[in-house]
Amino acid sequence: MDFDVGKFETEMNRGFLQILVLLCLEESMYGYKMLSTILKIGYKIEENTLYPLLRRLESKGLISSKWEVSENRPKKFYKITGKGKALRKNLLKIWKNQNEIINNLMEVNDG
Amino acid sequence: MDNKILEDYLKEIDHYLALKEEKDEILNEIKSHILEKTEYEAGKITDDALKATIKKYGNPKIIAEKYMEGYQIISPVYKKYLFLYTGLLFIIHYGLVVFSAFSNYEMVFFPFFYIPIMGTHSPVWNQLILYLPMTFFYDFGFVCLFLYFITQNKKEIRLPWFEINLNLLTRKPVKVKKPKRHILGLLVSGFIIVLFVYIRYKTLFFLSIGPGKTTSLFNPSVSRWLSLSVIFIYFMEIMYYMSRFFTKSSWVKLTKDGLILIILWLIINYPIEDALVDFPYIDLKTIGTFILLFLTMMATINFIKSLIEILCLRKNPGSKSIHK
Repeated sequence: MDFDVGKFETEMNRGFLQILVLLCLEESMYGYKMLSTILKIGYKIEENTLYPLLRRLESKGLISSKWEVSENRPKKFYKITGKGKALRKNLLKIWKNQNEIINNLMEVNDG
Repeated sequence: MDNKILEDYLKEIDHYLALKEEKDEILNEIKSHILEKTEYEAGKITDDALKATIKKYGNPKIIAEKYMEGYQIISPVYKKYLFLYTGLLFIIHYGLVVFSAFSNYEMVFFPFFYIPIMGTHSPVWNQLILYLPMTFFYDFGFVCLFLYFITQNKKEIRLPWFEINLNLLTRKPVKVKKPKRHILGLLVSGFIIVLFVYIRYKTLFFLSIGPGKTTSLFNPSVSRWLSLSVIFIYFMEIMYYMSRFFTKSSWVKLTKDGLILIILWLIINYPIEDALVDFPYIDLKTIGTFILLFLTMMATINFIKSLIEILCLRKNPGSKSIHK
């Protein structure tokens, strides 16, 4: 195959990772815990991708954070905000709609 | 356990992170993550375990890039403005340099630029050639700084746009004329004639050509050296023309222009004036100086154009040279 699938996947992942993180942060969680949780449900997210994403979401007021000492180590805990929840609701609606369109198209193509 | 490994890693990320306020927090979070992951995966924090976690975390430069996604030094929308404004500023600036050199007039526009006169011992063309690259680099840097401030300002600023049709400023492919065999034939024929003249008279520069006596413009050794330089430049032009039958690469043109520039610089730095023969009616020194100055200016402009062309191609791989 001539295409570098990785690049396309990165493009696709942008929106997906935002929804994923917003869904995960229903309860307060720190980065490493979040990575493990996501890994358990069958998806691997790179650590050096997660932290910059958390920072971007926080700068937009979609999640909030605070430093806490847990297991003798300072950790930064994140939680979704009201603004984040509202956005998540809208994004999920868009995602479901897109998913439906893709499925319908695939059915048409499969004949 | 040597925390220096981790500290060095964080220091390198810190080096690439061009953020002001959030930097410490980012680094603390990465540190906390690496320590926890190492402890969890290796049981305890050892140098080797730490190295393995750091390796997995990734290249500091790429990590910093991810944090700075969306952060721009100069917005890409100003790319065309960068070349246009630099070009316009260069025309004005270099125009002032030319004026200053010929009128022997020093100019100061503090803090923007200062054009000193180089003294009566230095010829005019020396000043003009010296200031050509310096003016360009200064103007380029100045426009970069201006566009940097505009980008960082974040406000909607509409910069004036001057319609100038330059291929280099557009995404249009660079048009290169398709080489023709008969032109190559003419060039090669000319080259053979030039070679014949050189072999016959040991020079290409004549003060007078007569049936009995032929006088060279320079003394024999300088004459030979200059003639060979001209032959070499001619030869390179032919090779470049010939190469266009096989390749469209802009690198060939850049190499040719660069070599010509080097030859001209060597000629300029050679004390040719002393080698000129005396001729009572014409000021050979002045004429020679102007011819050399003109050729060097043209060669420099060609070289800069080729360089910009290469840079444009690297930025827009789609805009490769095409034959008309």
